[in-house]
Amino acid sequence: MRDELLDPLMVALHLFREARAKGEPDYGDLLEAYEQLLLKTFHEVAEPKGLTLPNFRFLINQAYRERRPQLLKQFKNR
Amino acid sequence: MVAPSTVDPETVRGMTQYVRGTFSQRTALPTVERFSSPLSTPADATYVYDLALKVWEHTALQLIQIADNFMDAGAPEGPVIEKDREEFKASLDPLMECGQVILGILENNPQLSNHMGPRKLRGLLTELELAGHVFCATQDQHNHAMTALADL
Repeated sequence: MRDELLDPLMVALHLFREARAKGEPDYGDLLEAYEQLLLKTFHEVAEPKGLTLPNFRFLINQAYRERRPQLLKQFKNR
Repeated sequence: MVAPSTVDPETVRGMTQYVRGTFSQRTALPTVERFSSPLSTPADATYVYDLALKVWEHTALQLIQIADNFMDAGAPEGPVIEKDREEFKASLDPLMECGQVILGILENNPQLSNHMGPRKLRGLLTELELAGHVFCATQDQHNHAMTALADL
């Protein structure tokens, strides 16, 4: 998947997860923003290739697993 | 204030038993035990649901945190990790099942909780499921996923 599609998803997922981990009250809003982006990307990229939404979620989550250390560094001082 | 007519006593009774059965082995919930008879007021019902959801959310966030820590550690392999995975799954499955039951009830009776609505609960269930995927995926599955993603 192209970086310009994957990168915003990774950032949205990371921001939501960090907000949730810190107990920030707006984590529900960030989750919703991430879900909207995930669905949009799924319909544009993955669904035409025959992937199901749960499978696509799994792929994105595995990508996040790989990128998490980098994202933690990137957003450390924000 | 919830109107008494909007609370289904059978639903509440079932939920109370479910909450007690699911959580009493894991977490001390003495305050739920005071409802030894069917709940009679909407305030009682809301109290039980809020308590159940708070305990459920706390447990769910703990499991998600374990999965996050696992990712931070670089997702190691080996027999010890396999044992951790089994234990994680053993905690995850009943929690998912309980969350689905609560969600089903809340979707039909959103007035039963002040603490958490169906939308947030649904989001947490998805995240919990994904935490399970992260924690339980083997390195082979991970590599396969990354290849599939690159092909999209």
